Amino acid sequence: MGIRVHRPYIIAEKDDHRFIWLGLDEAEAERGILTNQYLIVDKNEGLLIDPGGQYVFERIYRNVSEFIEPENIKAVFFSHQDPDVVGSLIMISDFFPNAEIYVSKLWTRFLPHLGVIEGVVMKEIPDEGTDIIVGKTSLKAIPAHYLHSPGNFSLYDPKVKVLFSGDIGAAVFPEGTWYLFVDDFKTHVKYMEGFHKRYIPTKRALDIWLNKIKELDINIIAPQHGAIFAEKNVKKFLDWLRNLDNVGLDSI
Amino acid sequence: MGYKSVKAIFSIDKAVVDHLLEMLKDKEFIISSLPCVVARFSNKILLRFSRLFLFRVDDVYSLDIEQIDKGTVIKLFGEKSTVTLIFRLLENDKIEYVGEYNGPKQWVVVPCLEDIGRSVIKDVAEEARRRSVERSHTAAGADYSALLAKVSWVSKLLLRSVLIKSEIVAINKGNLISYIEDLASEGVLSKYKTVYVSGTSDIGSFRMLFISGELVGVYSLIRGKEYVGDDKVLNEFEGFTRIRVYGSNVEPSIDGG
Repeated sequence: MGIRVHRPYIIAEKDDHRFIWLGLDEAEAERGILTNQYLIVDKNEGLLIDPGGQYVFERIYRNVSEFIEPENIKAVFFSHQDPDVVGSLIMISDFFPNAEIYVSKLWTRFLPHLGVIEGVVMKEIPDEGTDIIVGKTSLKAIPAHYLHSPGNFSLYDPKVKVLFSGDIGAAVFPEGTWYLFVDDFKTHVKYMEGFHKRYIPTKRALDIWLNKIKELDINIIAPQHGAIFAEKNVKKFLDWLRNLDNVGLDSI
Repeated sequence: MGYKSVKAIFSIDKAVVDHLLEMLKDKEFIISSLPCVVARFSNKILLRFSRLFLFRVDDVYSLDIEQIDKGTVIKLFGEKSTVTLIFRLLENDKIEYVGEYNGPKQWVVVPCLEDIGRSVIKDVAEEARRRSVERSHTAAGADYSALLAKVSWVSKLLLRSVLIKSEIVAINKGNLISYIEDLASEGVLSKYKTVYVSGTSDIGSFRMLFISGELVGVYSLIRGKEYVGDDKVLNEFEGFTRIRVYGSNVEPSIDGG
């Protein structure tokens, strides 16, 4: 049996604003590539981040319902178009009926193939990014193109200084191991390296992204796979990315 | 170091009582139900307790489960502390819960203990309901109303369906049935073997299932209260209601939507 941790965990909080991790399920088929889903709640409005595929949906729905009425989920943010990000779209449209879907303009024409043609408001994110307002907070969709998808975004929450980084920072744990927060950065690098060198097409894409986020005040970096970087590990992680070599095509 | 405990009494549904002790023996289930789990290493878990988001305590625990008369004791042996969770069935569908902490940071950990007990009981109740629904299906065929209460079952149903219609409709109290009659007159109910209708308004949400044109299941959640198989409560819906209609030419199965 894989690892299951079904209880949510609040990773950052300020006043009536919360950034929440929504638990995890390790399916046999995932082979250790665990996915993280997150919820931002500001006052009485919510935004779901990369809610994932069909088999995690029940847990997501249940955990979201602990913090906010499903009808008050106003937005869903898809960092990119992979099935472990968008696979539950038809359930999202039914169970979170007032949610608008934010996704790169590259992918809006593909998503209807998931069986959702009517009744979903698609908000195309332009290449340069956009602001997404939830409650009284303006979240920033920051371009992260080619990391790894050609139409790809990170999401910055300025209220609690959390950067959702999508696949940047992804890690693959060895069997039987999982942790939510990175503690031993040196060991964690071993779990990240393979993903970043194979799935990301070129170091140039990383350099552009690092340049875009350099002015942000970041306390936490929360990726879609692997573990969360907090406090001193934020800088360690960004330094590691800056010095990464032999990325994707660069190694051929 | 020091020792401190909290005590609480939780009410549970009668249906949960039969499953409670069985589920509290399941180590994986307990771990998945514990709040504050932030890491797992082979047979150990790391719990992170926090208070006011300023103070936190981490400890790595191994978990041991011991059966007692009408109850279960879950012991978490940490490197710096011990946490003990005792659940005991009482009369009248009540559970007595005692959470104990023996360690150095009582003022951080002890306020979390009641939440731990509540979280475990909540998951037990949901899992018990799921098992009880499954058993009733095997015994007496499909109870589609009960199945509509299960998010996982509805999810699978949706995956096999196409969205036929999505609209926001102004419903007068007691007139939801007129909307359904309109669906029938438009031929939607006869065109598809299976039709699933979901709706959401300010007072709650409903799910209806039609097979071969006949209503076979109804589930509603109105002002936080669930109604399974009660089609009369649909008359409560009024005002602007977002309705979605899905169709499929496959009859849903009990286990797979």
